[in-house]
Amino acid sequence: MNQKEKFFSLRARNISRCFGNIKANNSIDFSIEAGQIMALLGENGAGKTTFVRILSGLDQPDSGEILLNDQSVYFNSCRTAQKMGVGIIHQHFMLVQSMTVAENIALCDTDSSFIYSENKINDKMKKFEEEYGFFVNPNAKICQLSAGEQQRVEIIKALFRGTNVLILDEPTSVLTPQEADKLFVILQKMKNEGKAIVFISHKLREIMDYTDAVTVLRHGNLVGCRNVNDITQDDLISMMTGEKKVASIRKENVAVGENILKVASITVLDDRESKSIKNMSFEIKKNEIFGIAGIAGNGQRELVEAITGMRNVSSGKIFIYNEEVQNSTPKHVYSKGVAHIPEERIRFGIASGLKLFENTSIRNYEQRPYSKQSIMNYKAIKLKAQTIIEAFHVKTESVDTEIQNLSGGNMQKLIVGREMVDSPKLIVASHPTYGLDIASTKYIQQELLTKSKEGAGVLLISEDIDELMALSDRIAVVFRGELMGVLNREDVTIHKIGLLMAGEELSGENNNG
Amino acid sequence: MARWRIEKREKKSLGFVLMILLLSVASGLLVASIIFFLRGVNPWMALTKIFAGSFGSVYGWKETITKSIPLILIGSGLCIVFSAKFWNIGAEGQLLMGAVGATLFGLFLFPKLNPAILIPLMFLAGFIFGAIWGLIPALLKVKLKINETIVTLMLNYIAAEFILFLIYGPWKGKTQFGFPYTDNFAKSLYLKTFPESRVHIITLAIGIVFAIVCWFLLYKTKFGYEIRITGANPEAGKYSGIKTSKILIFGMLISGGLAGLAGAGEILGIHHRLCQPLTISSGYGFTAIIVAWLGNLNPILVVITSIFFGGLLVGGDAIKSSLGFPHATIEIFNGLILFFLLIGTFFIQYRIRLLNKNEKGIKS
Repeated sequence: MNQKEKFFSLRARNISRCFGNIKANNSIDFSIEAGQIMALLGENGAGKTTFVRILSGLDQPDSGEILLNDQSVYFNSCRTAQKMGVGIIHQHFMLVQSMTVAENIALCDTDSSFIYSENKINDKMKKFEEEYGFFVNPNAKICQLSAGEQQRVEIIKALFRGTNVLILDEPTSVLTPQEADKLFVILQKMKNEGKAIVFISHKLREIMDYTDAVTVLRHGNLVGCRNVNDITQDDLISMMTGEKKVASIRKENVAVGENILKVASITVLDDRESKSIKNMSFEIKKNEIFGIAGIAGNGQRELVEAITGMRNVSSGKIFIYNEEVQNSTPKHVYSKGVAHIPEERIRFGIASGLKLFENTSIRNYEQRPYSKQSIMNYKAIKLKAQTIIEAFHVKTESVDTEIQNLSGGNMQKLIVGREMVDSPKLIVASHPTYGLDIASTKYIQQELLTKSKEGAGVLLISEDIDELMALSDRIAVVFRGELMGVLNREDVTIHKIGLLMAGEELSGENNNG
Repeated sequence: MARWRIEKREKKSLGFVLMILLLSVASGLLVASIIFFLRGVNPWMALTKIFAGSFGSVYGWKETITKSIPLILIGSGLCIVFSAKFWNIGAEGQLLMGAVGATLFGLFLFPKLNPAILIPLMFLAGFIFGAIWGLIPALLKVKLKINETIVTLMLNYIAAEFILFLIYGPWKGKTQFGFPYTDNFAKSLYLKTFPESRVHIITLAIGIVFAIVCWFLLYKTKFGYEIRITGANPEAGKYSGIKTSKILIFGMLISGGLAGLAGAGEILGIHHRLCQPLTISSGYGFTAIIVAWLGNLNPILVVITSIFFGGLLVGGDAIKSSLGFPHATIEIFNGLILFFLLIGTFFIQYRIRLLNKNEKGIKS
């Protein structure tokens, strides 16, 4: 199909794709028409990402075919797909941070001449913005923009390319609830223009509210495609998990005990030497789960690093059981009984390329019996690794397996197991269930509850508001390095958290921050 | 339109790896044969000469072992820093500085000392000079975040030019009829060799001992564990509280030091004086890089890969002398083998899969 031809449908037939022995996609059929918003739903590992990669030309299927306007097409790269009007917006935006919005758009503008014409870009941008009702300053640098604004730049890029089918991979995961609403207004307008939208989401509420239809995948197979008017959220859950009902988790109210962690007016600098945590104070008591909500990049990482000894504070103090631990080392903080489940497990939590058992000792290898003087005792480490994989249900062939061969859920269970097996006093958990399937998520949430019941204090940092509300005794919202307010669990509403996440005060409402 | 993609291999059996390596060498030989043919030489004869020269005779074996000695020493040290993903491509320079250190001690500082003390002292000097030369890029990396690849590479040239300065200038030998060498060491300092060979036994023993030591260090000690964690994922190292700077510095002291030992061994065992950089080392510092990689960064396996590459170097020399090829031909020959081995290592990790058009059959 050339671009001038009117788009009416995109179909995929019998798409299969294997990675080794794993069937990531097994004979999947899919269909979307002009003027439709289609959600793609499934647990992690269900094959959603593989499928949209194939649909957008980033990967090629082992078998099956893609039909555009009922004509068979072959996307050997995402460039080919783009030329035929199928574009994808990744979860992590593909923008050049140091360039302006207009320059980023010029990079992908297929019509642009060799010499870059700023006026032409601006004119065209204005046209799209009027059409879809949003505005982005073309002269702003990408790094100055919020996540929501960056996403709009990606959408403009797609429009410039003449995209008819826009695929979005978890588009709302980086947005506040309010920003997400704005996104859906834009998508709705695109839909009315006769474009087709496919988006991946875990959030059932979004799917029910904003889409026309939903395609559900499970274990690489197609479960079905439903019109959202014909189904309920419960139906979606059972389609997604194959179970009828998933018991919801909720922390019991418990009397909290003495102070475990005390953070006293700390200021922390980030790598660019600007203040990412400003004069922050809070306490966590025994048996208490303290949740921190907020959009990524508001100081969460620096806060966690300061508490766990990975980053120095420029002022203020941090106490674990009345002992000052600021500006010490990760090993010192660990020896005080502080467990740390790091964000982005593959980037921070494991050493891929090494074996499973070599990964279970990275926190305590200096202690006996794991090493003596300078000599490692890999036998003891293997035994401990065996204990961890049994106690925490890590599915693996053996402790000798290379760690990167574990699935995301099992990797996370291993990290959680490694951190929790020796009954820590404080658990710092950063996005502990991010990107996990429902079963692993429940398991890890349950472990956090169990440890808190046994007496541990938990600092839970998460972007998943439902998770925070289910687990936390108190929830604070962090915005630009400051706590916008601390809410007791009974006062929490999604609306309040959303406002605080966007940096607005809760005027006239109770908050005991 | 060709439809294909690159996939990671799940399982790699030992037999498969060996087969790929053999195929790589065979492909390299095939292309080399074409070059021999174009030069009007029967390729079969040339190849026979190469392998007879290195692995096919007692003499060949002796030479092969001789050439593998510095490769074992350097390769073992490189296993350590490469495991930390610190790219030391300056072993050549560290070797040369080791030779300078040994000469300084043996010829200028303590020429009168008892050989039983002086020889170990010269080896020690070689180690220290090599280690210092290796320390420079490590410190620049740790303190100023300067890329180690460029620094180590450039230090090679500085070391080579420094030796040239010494042997044409202040250290030029008075008994060498104006040739650019230092004077010879005292005869008592010449290392013992196997009968009728240049295999300097002491250095060979030191090499094998250090290969075992490096293996132990890397796979049995806390230091080795920290190195491997840091190399596998520096962020995980930071998370567990490993001090990366300490590790890189210590690793480079060992790696540079072992290259320096190799340099001391070469001049004590073979040349008996400080001479032209290209004579002291026929690119051992660079060849050792591929030796370490092919040995899977395992110092014990490095002993084997060192012997293989020692053989290639000797085979190259054999056709140079017997067929009268210029030196460049030999380098092309070795380069081709390396090139195909590198391609081979790619195929050990990945496969290319052709997507068959017939596979996309549509079921109705």
